[in-house]
Amino acid sequence: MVAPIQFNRKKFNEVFSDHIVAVQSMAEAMEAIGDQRDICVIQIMKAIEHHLKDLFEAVDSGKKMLWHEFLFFPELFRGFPNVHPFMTELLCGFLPMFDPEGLNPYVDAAENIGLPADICPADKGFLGAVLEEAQPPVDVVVAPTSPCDSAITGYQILEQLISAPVIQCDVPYWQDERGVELYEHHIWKMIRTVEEVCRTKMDWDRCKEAIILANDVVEAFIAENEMRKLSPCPHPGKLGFYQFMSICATSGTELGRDLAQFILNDSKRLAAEKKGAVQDEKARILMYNPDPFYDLGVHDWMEDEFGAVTALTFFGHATQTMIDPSTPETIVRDYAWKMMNICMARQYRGPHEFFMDDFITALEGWNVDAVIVPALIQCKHGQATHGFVREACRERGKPLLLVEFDPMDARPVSIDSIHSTIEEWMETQVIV
Amino acid sequence: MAEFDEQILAIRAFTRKRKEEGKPLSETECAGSPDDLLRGLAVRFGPDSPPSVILKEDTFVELGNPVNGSASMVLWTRQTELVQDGRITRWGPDVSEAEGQSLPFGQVILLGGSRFEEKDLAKLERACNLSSLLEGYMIRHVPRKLWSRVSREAADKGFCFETLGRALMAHYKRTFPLIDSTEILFVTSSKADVEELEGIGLEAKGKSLSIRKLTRTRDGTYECDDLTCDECPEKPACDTIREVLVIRKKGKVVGIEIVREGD
Repeated sequence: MVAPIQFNRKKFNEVFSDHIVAVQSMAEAMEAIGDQRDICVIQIMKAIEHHLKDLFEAVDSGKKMLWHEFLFFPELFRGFPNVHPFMTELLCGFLPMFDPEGLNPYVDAAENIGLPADICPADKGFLGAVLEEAQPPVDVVVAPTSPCDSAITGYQILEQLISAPVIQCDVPYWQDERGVELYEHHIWKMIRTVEEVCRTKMDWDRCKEAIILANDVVEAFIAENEMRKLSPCPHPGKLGFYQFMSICATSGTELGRDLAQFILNDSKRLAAEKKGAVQDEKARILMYNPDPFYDLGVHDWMEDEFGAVTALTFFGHATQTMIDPSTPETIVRDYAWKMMNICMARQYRGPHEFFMDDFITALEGWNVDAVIVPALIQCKHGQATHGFVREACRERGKPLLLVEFDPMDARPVSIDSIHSTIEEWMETQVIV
Repeated sequence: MAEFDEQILAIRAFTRKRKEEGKPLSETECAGSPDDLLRGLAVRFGPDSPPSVILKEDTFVELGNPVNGSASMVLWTRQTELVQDGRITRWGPDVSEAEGQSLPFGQVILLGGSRFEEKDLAKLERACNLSSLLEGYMIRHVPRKLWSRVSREAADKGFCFETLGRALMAHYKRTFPLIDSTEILFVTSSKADVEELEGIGLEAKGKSLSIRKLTRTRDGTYECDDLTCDECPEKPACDTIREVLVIRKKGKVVGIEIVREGD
């Protein structure tokens, strides 16, 4: 066993400074192009730039660093004084958006130590970033045992690579009271351990403030989701992904709250003007499973090429609920419930009914004409649902496309290949 | 006890307790065919209209915001006498009394049908979603809670819980001709009342999952009810899982070694 991997300031500065430049460049390029569909994405990029600058400030000021998995939203951790939450998968979420090959070096680094190709690229990506010493410093890591076995394994491997403790909270299989109690119990244990490791004490008043801000985000996200039922759908298909990623990083801050409110207001403005991402919708698409991170432009392309708007995406489906901020007990209980019900944590555990119930709700609730289900190469559990998905679409007379790709690595299935598959399906089954 | 009879009896105990406490309630009897139920309804009901959205500023009353309390369940039984056909019971303020408020909300739909089959259950549970069917009423999609809004326009037209109850009954009777009786209970009185109802709802959820052949035993393991391993096509998968469990218990995976160039 070799020594644990240490923080490498030079490497971190290099990678994350590049990241800030990429975020700024994307916003500037979008502003220059002036496509109305990018208005909210530009705001999200600005918020992410702010978020990254905060990260540098936290590192420079010597704050304790808490890495959290993306299915633990950070609002709870904002209650710990002198602790800065950092989403472990931040690079995995954003790098492929800026450069389709951006995550590849990290995926390769993880595969070089023996991770199999069918482990999720999100996990290979962050482990590769750890191995390449690109990540910020870490004092403690917290993660739920979701969304899948890949993530569980990823965090167990992380524990072997770094000296900081990794706390995994057991997400229940079931959606019942006993399950919530179990998860709640694990979250309390996590809080106590973070306090011990980071030599801090949860400030519940401060936590409450963050929870209220996070509730505002949820409410705005749900309201924006409802606006997507309108025809024309005010916002473009790609926005859901950006919204989810920005919430993962900024939930529980004023920055996050203002961003969510901006997006909702923009949606209301467009609806009032009867404007949409596609003015004359030829088809409304549901994309239910993660989008290709390196090709979010696939939605723009479908809108431009076929007049087909993605009315709802998997990441863009607001399924989380709000937290009662009254007492520490209500906060932890409702945080457990919320984290059991955010995208992926909610549908990728338990029986297939959990996925299918949401799938059918989305299919029936958003006035959808046709369905794309990304058949992600690494998601074995997802592939097991395909039979049910086919049956649900057949019963409702909705054309279905199951398209295979790797969500963060364009090498197994290229962007061109995804587009040509969709094109053939659109021309033969949807826009006929 | 069969189907949801136990939970229906728990609902009866819930209502009896409140009656004994002298809490004010409203009971309406409106049995009949779907057409009878929809006749004279305050707002339009039907699948023709495109989805509409009720914005916060256009909301007359919000129901079942998760922070204020929300519970919803569909309970069915083959013992049709357990369901009072056409009865709508309400505890707590009606729509017209709650302008601008966000009320806790519990909704219980009781269905009696001697010819129901277990395979009908998922469809029965899903049918409680009236979004885009009932004018001025929007259900917000959040997990296993019923969070909805009534618009100002609908309230002005006289939308009340009886309207919602009639629409639900008509919708069920039209969609499932095998239904013999429907009864609805609404609770808006307090968060505590709705939370008590939610407890019954969680039991119903467990029952629903077990009816759908998803059973968990007391010790937390999962069981198949109607198959034996010798006949089951999933046996190889279960065998693999057992093998993995053995490997994990033996702790064969002990660590990871990183070999860098030059080490």
